[in-house]
Amino acid sequence: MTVVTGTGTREVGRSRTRLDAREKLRGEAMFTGDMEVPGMLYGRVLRSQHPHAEIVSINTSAAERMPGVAAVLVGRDLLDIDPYYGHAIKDRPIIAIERVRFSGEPVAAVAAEDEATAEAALAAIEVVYEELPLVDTIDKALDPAAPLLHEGPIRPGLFHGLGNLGERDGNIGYRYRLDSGDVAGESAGAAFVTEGEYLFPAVYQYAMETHSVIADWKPNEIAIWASCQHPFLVQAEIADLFGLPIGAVRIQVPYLGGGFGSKSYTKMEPLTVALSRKARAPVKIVNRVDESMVTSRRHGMRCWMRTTADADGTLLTRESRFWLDTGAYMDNGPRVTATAADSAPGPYRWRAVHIDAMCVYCNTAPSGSYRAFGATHLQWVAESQLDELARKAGIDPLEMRRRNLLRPGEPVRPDGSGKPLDADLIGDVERAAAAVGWDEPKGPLVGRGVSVGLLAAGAHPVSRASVRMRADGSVEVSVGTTEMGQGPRTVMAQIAAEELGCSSDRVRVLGADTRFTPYDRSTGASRSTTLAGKAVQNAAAAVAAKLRETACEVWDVASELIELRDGKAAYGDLEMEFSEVIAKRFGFTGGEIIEGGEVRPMGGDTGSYAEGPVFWEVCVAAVEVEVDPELGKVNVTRTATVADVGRAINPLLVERQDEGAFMQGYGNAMFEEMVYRDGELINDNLLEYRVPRIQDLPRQMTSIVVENEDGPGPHGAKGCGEGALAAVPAAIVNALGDAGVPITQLPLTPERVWRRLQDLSEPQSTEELT
Amino acid sequence: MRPFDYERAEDATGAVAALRRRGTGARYLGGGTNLVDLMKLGVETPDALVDVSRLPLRGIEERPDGGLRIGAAVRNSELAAHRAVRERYPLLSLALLSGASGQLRNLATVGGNLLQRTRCSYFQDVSKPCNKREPGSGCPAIEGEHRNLAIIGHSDSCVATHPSDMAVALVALDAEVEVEGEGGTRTIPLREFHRLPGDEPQRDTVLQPGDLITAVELPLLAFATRSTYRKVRDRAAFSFAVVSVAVAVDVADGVVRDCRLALGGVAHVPWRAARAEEALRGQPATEESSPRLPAPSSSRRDRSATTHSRCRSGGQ
Ligand SMILES: Cc1cc2nc3c(=O)[nH]c(=O)nc-3n(C[C@H](O)[C@H](O)[C@H](O)COP(=O)(O)OP(=O)(O)OC[C@H]3O[C@@H](n4cnc5c(N)ncnc54)[C@H](O)[C@@H]3O)c2cc1C
Ligand code: SF4
Repeated sequence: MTVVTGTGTREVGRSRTRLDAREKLRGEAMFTGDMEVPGMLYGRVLRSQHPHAEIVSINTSAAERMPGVAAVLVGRDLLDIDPYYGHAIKDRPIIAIERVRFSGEPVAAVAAEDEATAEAALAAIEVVYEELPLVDTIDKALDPAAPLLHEGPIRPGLFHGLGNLGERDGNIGYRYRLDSGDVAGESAGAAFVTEGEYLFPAVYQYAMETHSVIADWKPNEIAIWASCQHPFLVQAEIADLFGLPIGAVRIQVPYLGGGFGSKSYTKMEPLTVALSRKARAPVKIVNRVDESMVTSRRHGMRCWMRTTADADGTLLTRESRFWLDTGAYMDNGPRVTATAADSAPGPYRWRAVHIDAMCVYCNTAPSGSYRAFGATHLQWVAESQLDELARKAGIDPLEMRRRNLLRPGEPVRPDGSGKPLDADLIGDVERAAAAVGWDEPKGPLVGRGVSVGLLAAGAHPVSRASVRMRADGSVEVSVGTTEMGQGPRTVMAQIAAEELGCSSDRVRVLGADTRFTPYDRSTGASRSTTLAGKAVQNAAAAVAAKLRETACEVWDVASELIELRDGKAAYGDLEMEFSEVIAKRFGFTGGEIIEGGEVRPMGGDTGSYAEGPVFWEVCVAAVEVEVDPELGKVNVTRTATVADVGRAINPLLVERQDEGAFMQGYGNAMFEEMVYRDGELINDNLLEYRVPRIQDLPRQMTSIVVENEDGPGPHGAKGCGEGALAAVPAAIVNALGDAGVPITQLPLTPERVWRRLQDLSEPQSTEELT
Repeated sequence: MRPFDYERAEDATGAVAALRRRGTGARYLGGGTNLVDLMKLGVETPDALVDVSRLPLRGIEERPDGGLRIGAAVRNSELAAHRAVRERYPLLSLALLSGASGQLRNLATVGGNLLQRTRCSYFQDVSKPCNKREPGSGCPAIEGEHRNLAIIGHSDSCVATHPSDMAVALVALDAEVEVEGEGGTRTIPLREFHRLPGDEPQRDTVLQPGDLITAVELPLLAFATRSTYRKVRDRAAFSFAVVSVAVAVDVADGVVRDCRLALGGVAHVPWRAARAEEALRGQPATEESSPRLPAPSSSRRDRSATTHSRCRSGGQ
């Protein structure tokens, strides 16, 4: 469902088929796991079964003697380098050194001629552990008597981007506070107060392709093929770890079979490089599903929140304290924590706000980025409290939001810093509510809920790209954005084609190869279309300028009079194919036009990026549910999500992104949970870790694409694809609350809902059941 | 996975002979959807597999009494889609379709489905004790993770459930299992085929080593045209039953003349609810008359009330 459509463009705004569809449907697309390089060995990883233990000894001699085994890597092989990495905080050894901090931590790795030999060699390695006291939950980690998982001064990583990281406090590795106004004073006379504790489960991103890496270490150059989202950040970290200049690390990224944040920053690359270094040969490591589940995940959270409002429902104050379980190593924990804190107030006007966010080390597998991180954690808590206040005050939840939501141009952050609101949230939530029949009458145990939030999107605005037109007029776009199913190769082709006046069919978009591809910070934070897309647009515009320049010379007219259309330069009735233009330019059937494009904070036409965030991604949803009291099953009957994208370069892709984000939010809210027992993940398979299947989908899903051309990207675009994920759990929880079943813990399994129903109707139910 | 030999048998007798020749370390291989998974986990470590998935046991034939004879190598998807099954035994078709996924059902065989092992997580984790896997090592599920395990028909040594959906429908239909073994061919009623764990939980069924399932016999049950299968599970597909129920009812003039009722996901065997059937016969066919099964006193589930409610909704 598209609400507003832009006009005046040929490629932009067109729902063209994905350029990679054919290749992928025919099984021709290459992924890292499909690749082989000459002389390649297969690596397997021995992982600790203990969540917290001292490594007393490792005996690898039997494994090393096995025929076909080239190398066995353990911690002591890394004494010649500084083996600690972490883009935020350098707290993680490439492979366990003396101590393991989570069940699943790599303790040894084998490179062998084939996988079976490598696997057999793992079984021949003897590790003696001495167990240490277990700190497997947030509560245990916060106990003043708990053992410390990390000691010594904090070592900042290369890309924490968080100003001052502060000191560790016990097992709290990072802390972020937002403070504005006097909460105690402003809430003293509140008419309505709501306060509660909330629990959010750790969940897994579940990309279909597991983490896969091929690494080829040579003394002066390291070559890597990896399923990574941010090749340039991995390149810098690997260079730093192994003591090489950045340019001596070459990373090539083929297609990714999904990422969702699980492949952002550095994951299996350092270990694979270290194993290749020991084996003196290229090595490939492909995780199993259970291994990827302990490589990255979303933080579990405990949250306390209190919100107050005055008699007419005007919001007064919000306070929250929350703790995110980052696992044994920080990974992207600090950024997740800060983003969660940013989402805690929600897009409302407050008299006072106090947020205290803590990222806590535990003996569990590390947590990192997962689509809409932070916002997903906090929006459901924040929005539940808004609905509870609305119920107490007898105000319709939609009206409650109309009264309190920020309007475009108002500051978003309570302290007034950063970019003001750049979207029409009231319009967005009204559309979503209408799509689920907000004002229609409803039966018993039916509820409707909305949710509104914002996600600080764009990460750091640094992207470069180049566009190259060959002598035959065909075009290559070189941009660092990783294609992982979200469609950037298609969108970048459309952006370039629009600028060049040709069909996107003649544009090829290449995967990243850090030796040739210009720098792009990362593929995440909904930034690619907005930032890398802008760089592509700038580069394509520069190529177009060169084409015009030559056409001017040929026809001797002013360049403004020259139009580029249908793959030709045109002036009145005169036309020249691009290939002819290039031939004229060089006087020869050869040559090419290559131009670069750039996006950076401040300067040029990108000034607004300096304010931060690049844009506020809108997280709006509405949901209708129906509860089956007998089974406790929540049937989600109608849903609507809003993709407020400024301008949809490819509307179909926007809808698919919005639906995909919906699915993951729905899974997070209803089904998914990583279940730990004594620090061990017990549902580390896809049968027991339950993502929703197609049969679980709601009866009716509406994706509303809003195009107000108010984004900083090409043609007024801004990113999408995360907002629905953050919005959906909140909307479902609110709909359930509206149906009379308020719940403060996810996921909303039938068992949990059923128990809640029993608690709510205790006297009656005991009678019925005995 | 350990290396193993592979052999494809040509006919049933040849398969039985091959298994005997290869000794106790050999296993029959059906679709492999359960056995191969267990081999990857190290739970099964056969040194030889005798492939019986392509034996000439792939037919679904009419029996003289109007019932069906189903070859042991018939795939789950073929059986579910078979016209006679859909028309005469809809509960069986529905039970099959509620299980696993399309790809798995294309591989899984009738014989293998009956013999699939429990989904108890300790059974599948060789680093844990488990009486079923290693007799005498203990049963951590009794105190540990047992949400999907037995609430009836368990013992002090094992609280596992039989995971098959198909078997629940078959037990409701009084199916019989045809077996070829050392002593020739014999027929075992499905109600007696799976065992309660007792103090020998390692034995799921009454089969002897080397026995090959060759067919399942389905007698005629005229009122099975009026039957269904309902499965409560944690998501709508690719999920084992928390509880399931297979029912067929024969109603005349608003009264239950006869009925069949079987429960899945609650016991060590596909559970025929004979007492509930008895209670229903001759009763008016209304919701009020549906049986209220008492919560068993020795329930292992977290809360007997949960159990009770599950049974009630299953019994409608
Ligand atoms: C992800 C997943 C989800 C599933 N979900 C469900 C579900 O929801 N409901 C459900 O009911 N099932 C489910 N299953 C189980 C599935 O139905 C069984 O794996 C399948 O039916 C087994 O049949 P098979 O032919 O593949 O058996 P195999 O794996 O080949 O064999 C299983 C056992 O039977 C033995 N065997 C096979 N054939 C014969 C024979 N003719 N005679 C004697 N012994 C024999 C083998 O030696 C082995 O011990 C699921 C399985 C998976 C992997
Ligand atoms: S319930 Fe049975 S299968 Fe599960 S651990 Fe106990 S003995 Fe093993």
